[in-house]
Formats: sequence, structure tokens, C-alpha cells
Amino acid sequence: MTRLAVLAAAALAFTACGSRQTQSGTSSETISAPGRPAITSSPAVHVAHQPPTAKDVIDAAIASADVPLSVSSTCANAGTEAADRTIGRYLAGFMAQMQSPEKKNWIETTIEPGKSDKGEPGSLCTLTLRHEDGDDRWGWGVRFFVRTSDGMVLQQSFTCVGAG
Amino acid sequence: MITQQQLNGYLGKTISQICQNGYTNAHDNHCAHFVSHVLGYHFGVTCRMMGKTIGPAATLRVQELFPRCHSVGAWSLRPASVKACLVFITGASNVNLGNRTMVNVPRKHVGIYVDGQIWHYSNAQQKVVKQLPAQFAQHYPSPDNRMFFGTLP
Repeated sequence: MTRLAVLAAAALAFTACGSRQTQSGTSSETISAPGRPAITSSPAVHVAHQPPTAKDVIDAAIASADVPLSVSSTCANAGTEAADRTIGRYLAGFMAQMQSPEKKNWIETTIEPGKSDKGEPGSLCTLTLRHEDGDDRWGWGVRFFVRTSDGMVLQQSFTCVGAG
Repeated sequence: MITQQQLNGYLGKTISQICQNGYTNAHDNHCAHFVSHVLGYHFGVTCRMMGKTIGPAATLRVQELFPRCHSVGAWSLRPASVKACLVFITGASNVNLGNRTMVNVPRKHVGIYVDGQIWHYSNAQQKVVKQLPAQFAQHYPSPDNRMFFGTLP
């Protein structure tokens, strides 16, 4: 397991226990978009740099641990346990599979320019947890949008990426 | 019904030669992706959703194929009348046969069984291979090597 993965796993475990760290907290808000369920979330998450760095992407994913998997059809039944309900539990389930120091594990981040559903400019960020051990090969993670105007992570933009 | 001859046409092909939508990262698991391109399944999360929108869509996830099978069960209890089906391999605790569900654990794999042989995408070899069921049973070490059949959706 990489040192980075250890740190991220620890942070996710921390958030899953009822606390959370964000770059900047604001009041709770309800977000909705056409075709997606409304999400009551708190507080808003903002990244530290524009465009976001790899560290910002990981930080934003950790801070968004409470986002429900119902945010996107791509996250339906994506958890490693049927009872998983949040992005945090989803990611933690795969991190828990990265514990062997003899296997190849890594975290991959990509940041690409893009536009939100409303046409706002920003960055499309992807965090993928990867594992390779012969045919035991996988990559699962999240993709989300960061708005350029204020660095806000749009919670309704979360999707779950991965195959297999 | 899919035939051995049709499946043999895929032997040795990489996912880049099968998927036109650019969802071809060699670090991803393409087992369900391969099966779905061959059999035309495009429900749930597809390569068109996650990649480009050029070619036919194909389902990417094993846990979205499993519930679509008309009937599922332990491989050893596969009816003799089933000559072609999907074959899944994972830990027994990851499968609920009664509810026809499979959780999204990393160690799960799927192939196409036709008349005694299994065609599947070997992520380690990065190509389509053909194996006997006894060889396929060694895809993962125990206890993640329980095999299940699923009649074609």
C-alpha cells in the first residue's frame, strides 16, 4: 500500500467517524439538478488551487465523504457492501483492499478543463484507486467538477468510475 | 445464440480492438466490458457513458450483468440443458442467489461459456483468451474462486 493511500484511508476513516475537514466551510445547502435527486449537504467544499492539484483532488474527495451514492446512477450498487450509502464508504471499501505491501497499489488523479451542466467553466477531476496483481486488476474512484469562479466542488456532479 | 466460431474470432484481441469508445485503459478490468460488446448488453454504466460516443455501448460492470441473467446458480448445479451462459467467479459471500445480486467487490470476473469452453478477457494478458472451466476456476485464489452460472440476459 502506498503511503499516499495510507494517508487517504486514514482521512476517510476519520470522516466516516463523524467529523470532516474542508478547505472552507459554509452553511448547509440543498443542491439539485435536472434528473438528479436533491442533495442536502454541509458544508460546501472548496479546493485550494485553480486549477486543482492532485492533492486538492484527493482532499476534495475526502471532504466529500458524506455525499450519498444516490447522487448518480453510476454509483448505484457501486459499494463493496450492499449497505454502503456514501462516497466515503464506497472509496473506503476499495482502499481496504489495498493493504498488502507486496501488491501494486496506487492513486491516480486527472484534472481536465471542462464545463458544468450549467455551462460554468471549471475542472473535471477524477480520483481512481488502482490495484494490480496478475488478473486481480481494478480501478475504482470518483469524478467531480470544480467550478473555476469560486473553486467549489459541485456535489451533484459526483459520479463513480470503474469497471469490472 | 453465440457460437464457438464467433467467439474464436475474438481470441487474442485487445480491448482497443473491440471497443470503439476509447474506454481501453490497460489498468482497468475489462471482463464485463468484453462480454457486453460481444453479446450486445448496454444497460447500467457503459463505455459510451465513460468514454467517447463513437461506437456501440457496452455494460462495464459485473454486478450489473448478474441480476439481468434470467436464472443464476452455483456452477456445479448448472442444468445440463444450458449449453451457453455467462460464468462468474468470485467469493461465495459476495453473491446472493435468492435476490440475484452481487456486490461490487474487486475480485469478481465474468466470461462466456459455450459448449464446454469459456472465453473471457484476461486483464493480466491484455487479450481475449479461451479456457476450460477447470482452468477458469483458478482465476482467483480461494476463497474468491466460487463459480456461478447465469443464463444469457
